[in-house]
Amino acid sequence: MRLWNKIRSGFGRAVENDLAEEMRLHRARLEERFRAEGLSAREAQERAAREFGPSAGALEDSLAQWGFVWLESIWTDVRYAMRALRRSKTFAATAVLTLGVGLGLASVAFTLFNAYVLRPFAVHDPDSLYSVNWRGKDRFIGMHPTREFEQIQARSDIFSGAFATRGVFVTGETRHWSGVLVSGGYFRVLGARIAMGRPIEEADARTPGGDNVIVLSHLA
Amino acid sequence: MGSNELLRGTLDMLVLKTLSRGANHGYGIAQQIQSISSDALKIGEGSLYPALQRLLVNEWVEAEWGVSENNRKARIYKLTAVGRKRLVEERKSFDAMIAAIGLVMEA
Repeated sequence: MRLWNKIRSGFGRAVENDLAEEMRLHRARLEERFRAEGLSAREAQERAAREFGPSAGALEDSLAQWGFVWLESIWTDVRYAMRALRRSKTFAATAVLTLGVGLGLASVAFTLFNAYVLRPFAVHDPDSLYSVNWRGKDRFIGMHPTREFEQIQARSDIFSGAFATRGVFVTGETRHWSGVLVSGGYFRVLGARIAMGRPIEEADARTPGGDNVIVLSHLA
Repeated sequence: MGSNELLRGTLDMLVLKTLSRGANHGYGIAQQIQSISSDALKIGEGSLYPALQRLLVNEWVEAEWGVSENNRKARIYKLTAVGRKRLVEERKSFDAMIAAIGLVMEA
């Protein structure tokens, strides 16, 4: 508040007006002296300008001296606030806690919003996508043998398309890759678009153990 | 010798010294320094007024609008008690520096 008051009171402008007037008077007296020494008005003016130095910048340089005072007064205000907060510890703690919890909630909410609304799964129609598992009497078994998959795939009365995946982890000499083995319909069924080249197609998987093809993923 | 070639910080001391002989205005200060130094030191406004502001900020001098010796409007600068003390300190460190430079040059 004190800083704001200082700004409003025209503190800076008063300093500037004083300075400008002072410099003008100084220059005028120099010119007067040179006139008295017998120079013409113009010569006196030129001589005064030469002795006085380039006037552009002099005012700014002088005003800049006050810059430290401004900074100092901001620093004083900050210290004053710290002292005040230290005096009322409960208030300070409540304020910090409120702000902290508020910021935390806001960032969590945004993270969820970002994941589910702004960047949903990059597939054609995420809501019509189902994961098919089968459950045994006593234990859960997620994987289907190839033959079962082929049966599910054949049921076009239930599914418009099906694909199978299996996660793989490749260990290299210096680094490791995680990847997914997919059936031929993977990209077509998901309706996922690719940035470069072509997706894996049904034809690629027609002969088991045929040509190996790969699609590299990147972080969108 | 141009004012830019003045040792950095020396101008503040010269202004303080000039004001220790009595209150004066910017023009008067510049004239006194020039004439006492036999025209060797010419103080341009580009260095005089920043120096004066510096002294004002530190409250080593105070300024007031008044009338000069020949009845002209002028802003008169006056040394404060703190400024007087500062002058003694600056004089001391200046002497020490000159002595040190002398030692290096004589070696």
